[in-house]
Amino acid sequence: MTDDASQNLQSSSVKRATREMYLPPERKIVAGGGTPHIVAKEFSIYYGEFEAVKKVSADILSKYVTAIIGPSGCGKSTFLRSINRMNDLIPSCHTTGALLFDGEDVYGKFTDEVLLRKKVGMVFQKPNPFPKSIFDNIAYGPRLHGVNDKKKLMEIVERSLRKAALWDEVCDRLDKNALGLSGGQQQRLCVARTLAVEPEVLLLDEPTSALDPKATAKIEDLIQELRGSYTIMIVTHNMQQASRVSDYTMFFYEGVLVEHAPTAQLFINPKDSMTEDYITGRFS
Amino acid sequence: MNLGTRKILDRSFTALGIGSIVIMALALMIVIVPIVTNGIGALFFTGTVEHRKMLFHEFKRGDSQKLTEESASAERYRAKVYEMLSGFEAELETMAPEKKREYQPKYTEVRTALQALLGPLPGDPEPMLTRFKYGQTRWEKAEAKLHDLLYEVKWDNSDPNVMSKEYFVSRAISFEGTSLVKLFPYVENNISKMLLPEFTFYWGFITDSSVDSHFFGGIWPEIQGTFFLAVGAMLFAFPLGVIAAVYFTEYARPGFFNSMLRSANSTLAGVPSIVFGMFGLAFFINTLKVSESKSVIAGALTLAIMILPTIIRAAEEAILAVPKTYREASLSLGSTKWNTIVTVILPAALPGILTGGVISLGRAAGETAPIIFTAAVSVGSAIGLADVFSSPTPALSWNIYNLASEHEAAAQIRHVQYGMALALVSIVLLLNLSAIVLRARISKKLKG
Ligand SMILES: Nc1ncnc2c1ncn2[C@@H]1O[C@H](COP(=O)(O)OP(=O)(O)OP(=O)(O)O)[C@@H](O)[C@H]1O
Ligand SMILES: [Mg+2]
Repeated sequence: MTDDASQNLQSSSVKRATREMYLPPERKIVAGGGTPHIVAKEFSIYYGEFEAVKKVSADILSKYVTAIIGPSGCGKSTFLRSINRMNDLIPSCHTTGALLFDGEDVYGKFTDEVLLRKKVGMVFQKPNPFPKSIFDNIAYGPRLHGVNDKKKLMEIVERSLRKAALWDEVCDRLDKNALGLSGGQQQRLCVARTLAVEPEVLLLDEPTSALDPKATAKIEDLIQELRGSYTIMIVTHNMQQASRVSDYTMFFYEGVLVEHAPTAQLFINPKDSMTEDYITGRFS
Repeated sequence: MNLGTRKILDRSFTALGIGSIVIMALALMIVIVPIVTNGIGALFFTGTVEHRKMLFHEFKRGDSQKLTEESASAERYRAKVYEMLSGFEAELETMAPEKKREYQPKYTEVRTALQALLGPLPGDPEPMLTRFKYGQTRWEKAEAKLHDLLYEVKWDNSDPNVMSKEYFVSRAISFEGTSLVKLFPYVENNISKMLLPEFTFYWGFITDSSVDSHFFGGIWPEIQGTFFLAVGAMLFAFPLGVIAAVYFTEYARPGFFNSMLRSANSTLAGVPSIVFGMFGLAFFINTLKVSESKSVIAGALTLAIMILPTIIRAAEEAILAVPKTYREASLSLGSTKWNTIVTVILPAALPGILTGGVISLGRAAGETAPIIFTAAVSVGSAIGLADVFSSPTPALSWNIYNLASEHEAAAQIRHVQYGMALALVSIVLLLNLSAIVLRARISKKLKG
């Protein structure tokens, strides 16, 4: 496509068509109230001097799926990882403002980050199973939190694998090394591993970026299934995916939360022209 | 740079690389091949009846009936020699005084050579040292001694401009006209009947203790001592090293103190081992008084200090090589830092940590200098486990040096020295091999 042609595409009718393409007809939740599960207040995240996330204020509602979109390097991962304090691993990283989880300050002096991470599970961009058996991967979390009974562990493993739609594929080789699974299976294994801890929140950082369309569809189905029982936040570069799976969408640009709205509203009728430009593909 | 030059450069570098590897392999061969061939000779050799006698008397091993028969048969042939000797002694008495004075020293030389060859002669007092109680136990040595009996060494220093040259004169000639002249061809022709050479596999070389400072017997005390020292060193250094590595990689905050510790560690790795030996003596024995004087424990501690930096380095590298994603995954599941280290990081780093450990174990087994002042003695029996706190021990590394240079009869027991070298090389090789196998197995398990 030449530059001229892409300019022409910006005509408003084409714009609307592009936007509507994102919306599946059966989308039920358009907008709605709910209890905020995670609340950010003037929340900034720094890497040393560099402010990667700038004064974000937002309520993330309980039991809804929230998608985070935005161009590369805009701070999506940084924001997501701050919710379960994975940023603690980076020595230069620090925050200002407040981030509340269930009304409690995530970065409070007396916050137990281990307990927090138990409640806020995370699935990473690249599947990262442990170099252990499938069973031991899923049982890792429950064992940590005191479940040692073999039968009970087996129950948890089966339940988690079923939830992650992986049970049928691996039920006969639970003792095999998880690294022998395909990429898509590994990613679903990671979801199952997170679910086994029974978290309240599920953070997904581009969970399908390394997967083929079929495996992606499975993960998306999974999100649909888990929706309503977990608060889910998903970072994605795929606009269709955001519109397919999420109830709310947050658009970040250079560390600033530009727009946070019900997904249908944000895609059909964005308030901010920057959002509009981004979702119509003016920049990526 | 054009394609042609690039190709030429590539090729010449390949040639250079292959060349250096070949040179290295050759150098290794030059060292290893004599050790192996000579060392094997300590286990497999042509042994004489004297060897079997020695085994029977010193170690109560062997077929007593067969030995009696063999001794009797050998004795029949030796009896003739003894007869000739007494015959000549009688003849000596009847000689004119100046003749007698001429023959007496020559005859003593013959007797000495025969003693070395066959063991004590009739009428000799019972020797004090075990080494003189038996004749030559190894056939190739017997042949050398036979040569000593048959020929006298003379030195040709007629030309003052060249170094004097060795030449041999038949002893038979100097006894021309006496009854003893028949002795030389008789011994030469019947030597194998007097010594009964036979192919011998002396497995006891590995499991026997030495008799009369390595003249006979095996090297078990040395092997066991080496084992105690190396394993003892590992018992101290391995846990300590892994803990230090975990501290450096997971807990230490970057800063002056930390970088000082790290450079101290690197410096320690470069300190010559003899310095560790001195340190061990000064610190563990004189200051801490872990033992009265040399002991296994003092040596093990000294070796532990010596290998600690290597273990720390290897473990650190192995831990740093564990993908960050494992740590993230574990933490995100609500694991504590400590738990993550124990259940995820260390298992994943295990192959690297173990390799470092086993290589250090090999180094501890092979080092001489650190144990000279702290643990090693030249000759001793195998010590019990309970004695490690109080007794020193012989060890392979030290005794190889000792037999090569300090031993009063080093030249006569070269085979023992080579046998020790072979044992040490085999132990170290075996350890390294097991490290490779272990590493491969664990890696395979980790990779699925
Ligand atoms: N460990 C770090 N140290 C310093 N700066 C960092 C670090 N990690 C990320 N950044 C910076 O913070 C900003 C936001 O990074 P972040 O990873 O959150 O972006 P992102 O939106 O997730 O991008 P992508 O879509 O490419 O994953 C970037 O400018 C990045 O360079
Ligand atoms: Mg990211």
